[in-house]
Amino acid sequence: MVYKVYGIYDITNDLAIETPSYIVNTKYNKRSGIVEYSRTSKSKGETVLNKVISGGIRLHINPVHPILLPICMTRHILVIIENPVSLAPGDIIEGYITIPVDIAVYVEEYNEAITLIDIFTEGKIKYTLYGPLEGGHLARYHRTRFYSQEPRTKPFTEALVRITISNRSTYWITLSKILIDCKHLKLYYDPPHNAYAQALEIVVTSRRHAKVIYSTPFKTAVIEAQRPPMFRFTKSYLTLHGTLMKWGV
Amino acid sequence: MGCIILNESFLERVVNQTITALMSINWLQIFWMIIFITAGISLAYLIRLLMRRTLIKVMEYTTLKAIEKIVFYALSTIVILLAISSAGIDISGIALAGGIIGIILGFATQTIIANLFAGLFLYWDKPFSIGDFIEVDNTLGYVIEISLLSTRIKTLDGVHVRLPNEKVFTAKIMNYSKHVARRLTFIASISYREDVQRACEVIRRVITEHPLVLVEPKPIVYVKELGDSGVNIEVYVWVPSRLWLEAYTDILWRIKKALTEEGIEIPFPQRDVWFRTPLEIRVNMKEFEGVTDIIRHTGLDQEYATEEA
Repeated sequence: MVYKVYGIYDITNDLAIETPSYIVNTKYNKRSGIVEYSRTSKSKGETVLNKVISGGIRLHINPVHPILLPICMTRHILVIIENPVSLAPGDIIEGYITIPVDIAVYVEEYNEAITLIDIFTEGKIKYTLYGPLEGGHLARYHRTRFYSQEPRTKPFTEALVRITISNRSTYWITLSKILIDCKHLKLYYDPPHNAYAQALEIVVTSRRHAKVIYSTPFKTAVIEAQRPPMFRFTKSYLTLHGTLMKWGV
Repeated sequence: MGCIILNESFLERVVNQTITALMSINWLQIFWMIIFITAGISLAYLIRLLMRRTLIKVMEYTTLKAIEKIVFYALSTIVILLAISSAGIDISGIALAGGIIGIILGFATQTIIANLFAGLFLYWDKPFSIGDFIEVDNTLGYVIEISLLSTRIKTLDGVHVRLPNEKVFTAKIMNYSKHVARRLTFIASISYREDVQRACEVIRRVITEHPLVLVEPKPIVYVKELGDSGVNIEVYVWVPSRLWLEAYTDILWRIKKALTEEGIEIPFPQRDVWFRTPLEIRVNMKEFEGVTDIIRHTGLDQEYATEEA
């Protein structure tokens, strides 16, 4: 079954959007203008979320940064590469990895203001620690392979990322993990279920240190996903900052 | 009813002395003294504002507020003393009086000053911040305020506790929020007749699937000891410090549920009693046919006979 989930929906009509685990329903009351939003678990057969929306006209269902469940306690994702990449000094390699994504539901109001109303996941949530206990980062845990060609991603749980790894040290290095800061990461989607992030450049400077630089989108004709309120920032912040990996690559 | 009778000559003398005193004052010096004091206090106020703007990024607001007050009043006092001195008024008497008052106040406010310095040392040492979950002096809770004199904690049962900084500074402080992750330890006991390997696998599956158990540092599941009632399996898991309570209450429950679902018995305490000498128990069914037989069997019939005699 092919699920049509990511996209923008008119909620002045009743909706029933199905994902592998849930059914999202909206019921519009023409007289009061109120929309009843509900999300039902398919396996348990029970409604896990019920909300009343007033003044909304459109529903946005987008991929979202996977750090908001069960509560937001970090802004990092640690991607473990199952087939670590070894690079000769000065060498550069291009390829693809996947990162985890969750699903967010936003409602757009008449004045085009957008608010987040629901987040859920189709995958498994696991976190890990990158670095030492004191000063290290909690991060959402994800395992992926390094692909030399564009792979197929798991719908609703993964987003595709093109990465360029460059070894700027004077010795061989092996890259087995990548730390991504969601504050810098933009997500895109291609309806009905494909998700992407912007291209990443990983500059390895030593056997233990690397910098992750957030580049431009590598796909055309994709829609930029809405960002949760905590990840809205100015453009200068994006362009100035990268993520430093200082506790191992 | 008492009254004061003032004669004319006395009044004249007082008026004349006052006029002479006022005539001897250099009003220009007074004017400059007031200007100096006003300018000095304004400068002290500006320094206070400047401190607030620059140090707010690196210091707790309550501590900063206290420090800026101290700086402002100290500077203002120095300005006033300098102004009085420059006006030609001898301040040695004021200094002496100030010194004596200082000594008296020092003795009277010994505890307050000790708390104040402890507050400053706590600021430099930074063993905790506002919002941290700490245990100090047998008080467990969240830090809600750190001032120069005291630290306020909200305990888990909602009680507001004020601890003097002197006590906090000298006590053992356990900060559960200092690190991003925290280890939880559980003991799951299973019956001797159960398969320990299978029980460990069930526990590993539960903690692998649990969203709050971190992948790194790795969880550890091992047989800790062969206990009195069962085999004790110890479980070490690391969870986010912020969610340790949620993790603590959820993980053990899930382990118990999973073990029960797998049919693995969790034993209750048992004790086997061994007698030093073997016991012989003889049961003769005929002797239980009537009450008299039972009495005879227990020897009570002999006792009854003796009592009757």
